[in-house]
Amino acid sequence: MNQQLKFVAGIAIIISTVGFLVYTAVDQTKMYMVTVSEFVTGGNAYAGTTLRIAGRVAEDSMVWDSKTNDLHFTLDDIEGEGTIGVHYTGILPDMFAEGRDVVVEGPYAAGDPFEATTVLTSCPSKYEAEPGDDPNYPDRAASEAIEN
Amino acid sequence: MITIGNLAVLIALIAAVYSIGASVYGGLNRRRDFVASGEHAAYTCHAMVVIATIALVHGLITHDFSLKYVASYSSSTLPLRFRIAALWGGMEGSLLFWALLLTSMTSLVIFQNRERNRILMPFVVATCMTVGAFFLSLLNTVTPPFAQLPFIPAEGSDLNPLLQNYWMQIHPPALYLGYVTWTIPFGFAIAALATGRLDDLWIRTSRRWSLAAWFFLCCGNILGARWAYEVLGWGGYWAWDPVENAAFMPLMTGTAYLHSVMIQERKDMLKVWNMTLIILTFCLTIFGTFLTRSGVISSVHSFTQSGLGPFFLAFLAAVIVFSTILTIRRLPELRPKHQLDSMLSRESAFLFNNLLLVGIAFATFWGTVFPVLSEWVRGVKITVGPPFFNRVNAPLAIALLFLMGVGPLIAWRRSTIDKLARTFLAPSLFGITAGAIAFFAGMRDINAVLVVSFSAFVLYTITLEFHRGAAARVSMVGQNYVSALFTLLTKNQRRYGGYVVHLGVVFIFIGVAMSSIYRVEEMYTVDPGESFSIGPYTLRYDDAVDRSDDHMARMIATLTVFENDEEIATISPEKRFYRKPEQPATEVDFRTTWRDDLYVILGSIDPEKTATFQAYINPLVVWFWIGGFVIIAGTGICIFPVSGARRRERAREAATARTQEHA
Repeated sequence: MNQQLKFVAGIAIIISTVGFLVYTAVDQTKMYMVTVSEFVTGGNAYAGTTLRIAGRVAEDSMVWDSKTNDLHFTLDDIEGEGTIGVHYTGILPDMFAEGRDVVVEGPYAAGDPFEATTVLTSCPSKYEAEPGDDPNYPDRAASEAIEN
Repeated sequence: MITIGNLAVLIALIAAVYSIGASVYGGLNRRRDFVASGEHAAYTCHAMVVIATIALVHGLITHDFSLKYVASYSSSTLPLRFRIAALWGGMEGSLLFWALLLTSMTSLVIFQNRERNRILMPFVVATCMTVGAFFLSLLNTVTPPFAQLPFIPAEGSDLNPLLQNYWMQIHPPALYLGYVTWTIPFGFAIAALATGRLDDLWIRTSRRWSLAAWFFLCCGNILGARWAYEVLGWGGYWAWDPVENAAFMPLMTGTAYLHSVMIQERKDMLKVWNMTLIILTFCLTIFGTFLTRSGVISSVHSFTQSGLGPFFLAFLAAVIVFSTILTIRRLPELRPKHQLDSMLSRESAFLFNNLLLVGIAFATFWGTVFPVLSEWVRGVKITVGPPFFNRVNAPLAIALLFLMGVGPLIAWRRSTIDKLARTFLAPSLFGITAGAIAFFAGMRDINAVLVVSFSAFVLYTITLEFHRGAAARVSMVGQNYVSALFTLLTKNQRRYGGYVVHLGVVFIFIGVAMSSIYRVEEMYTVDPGESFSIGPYTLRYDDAVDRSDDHMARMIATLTVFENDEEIATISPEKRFYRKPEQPATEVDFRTTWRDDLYVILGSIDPEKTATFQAYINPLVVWFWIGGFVIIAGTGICIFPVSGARRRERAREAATARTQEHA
């Protein structure tokens, strides 16, 4: 076979492999990012998917059992309507507190509470004015994901 | 000082803009006086930025809380070293610091080339100053570092606790240097396009700059990983966070560039590709700044955005459009004079290595911007996490590891199956044996087995290369073997330094693969006196003590580690509560051995001292850090200037080597 053609074939194979890997990986690992109100009004449109729900921890809703590491709280929509209960087991993230904006991650399930496998916290409100301000303060850093 | 600072930032911008004009005019019309004037303006710009930086650092050191920046990122109890580091702790300061590094590099390149590359230099200066002018205009308008508060607060709101540590002091400067230094090779590329000097002059001249940029970027990435490991305290060192990706992408395209320019130097080919790579790498450094500064990607919800995003995107678009137009205009002159001869050649190994590296960069880019893209295209925000990046990049990286073993041994231009079989028989057998041993020792993960096998393969080829080189010297020069090995590193720095870097990369592969695939994780809630076990270790929670001071409240837990009923270490993770930003922070503790790291986090502790610990065993993770050191050392060998006599000798050797290879 012509050498140049071989090269074209080789290049095509690599490019399509990368494309294929990206496509399938997105398909298998994607998570929908929704707000609390989108989640509440969305019904079971999200069935079978993994979700990241963004909201604000409601005041006086946090119940933390330091013996069992069970965390219960209510998540309000940051701007609009909607509230869900959340349950999480694991280390309490440093920056988790009532009134803070957090993202909870977990597989979709109907019913209350939402079982979160991960709670991502954002910067405390003092830094909120200029988020992402710091190159060393990445989203997980700011957020400190505690994986389950 | 504030007036001086403001004035300096303004004059710096004016000088930068003037420098662009004078350099371009002088360069196009061959007017030496204008070129010189442009260079002087660049020096002036540098001086002004230095003054502005001193003014801001002065404010930080002397607690001038009337400055908004000082009040926002420091406090009266913050130690001096962190007050200085606060220069890059916030937005305005880090942009100023960025400008400082860029103008310093520009001055250095002007001084270095004061008698050389007179045709290229005006455009190099103009390019650097354009980038500088962009940052300086931000500093003059959107993010003024010397903005004052209408009142003088009694106390500052302090530096973020996550930044109050040693790694914070050295990690951002390294990363910024990595980003900024790529501007210089990019400047030379633009100068080559602008002047039509499209041979490999610009590449050779900027080679050391590219290596330096790569070096700093590498340091930045590794130090960042270390910071994550020691400070962020979630048990790992890399999480495919947008900010990490931002530093990782230019490293990949930069690596591709460093390899493919070798083909242009030897074969006068791939000119367009090299142009594309350097433009891409530069754009990714700007994109990286954009990602870290704008918070566009990381904000999963309605954060107030800093308003810098659009400026960066506009600048990025301008850079892409401008460089693309320049490249297209020169396309006829960039046509290759040769063709690739054979699939079985080092050129093709390099070509495929390039595609894989760019593939990794692309996949990382895609995953990073996916939330934004999906929202634009489909109206739903979809995000991907670390599993995406691992799934895509692991096979690509493993293929790359394999090519790393092939590259050094395969002949330039063309090889034959016979020759390949002879060259690769021993290393392949070695690799396969290593893989088989790993498999029968109980390793069942396909990626892990492949990494072991290919690493052995690469290690064998690298050893073989060193051995051959040294043996040749022993027989030809009569040197003893050990000093011959050393001579290889100093005489042919680029080649053998490169192999040392490869060695480091192999270590990193081993560290990453083993620590991610075979990690063990446990969580326990215990009272003082109780024990728990993880892997081969048993940990006894002895006690917790209170070590609070004015700056923070601290609880330190002490655990005794046992292995086979023998006491081997104590580990003391702690929980802090910073008083100024009123924020808790977790200080992890870990014990490193060649075999594994035992990593312990104090998750929570209540007044009765009942504590929750999260413990990890990260097997062979120490090799990740060793690999980092080896890479840094290897790059150092490549960059370190050789004396004139050595350089001449090296040139002679290279010439003979070339004729030999062509024969």
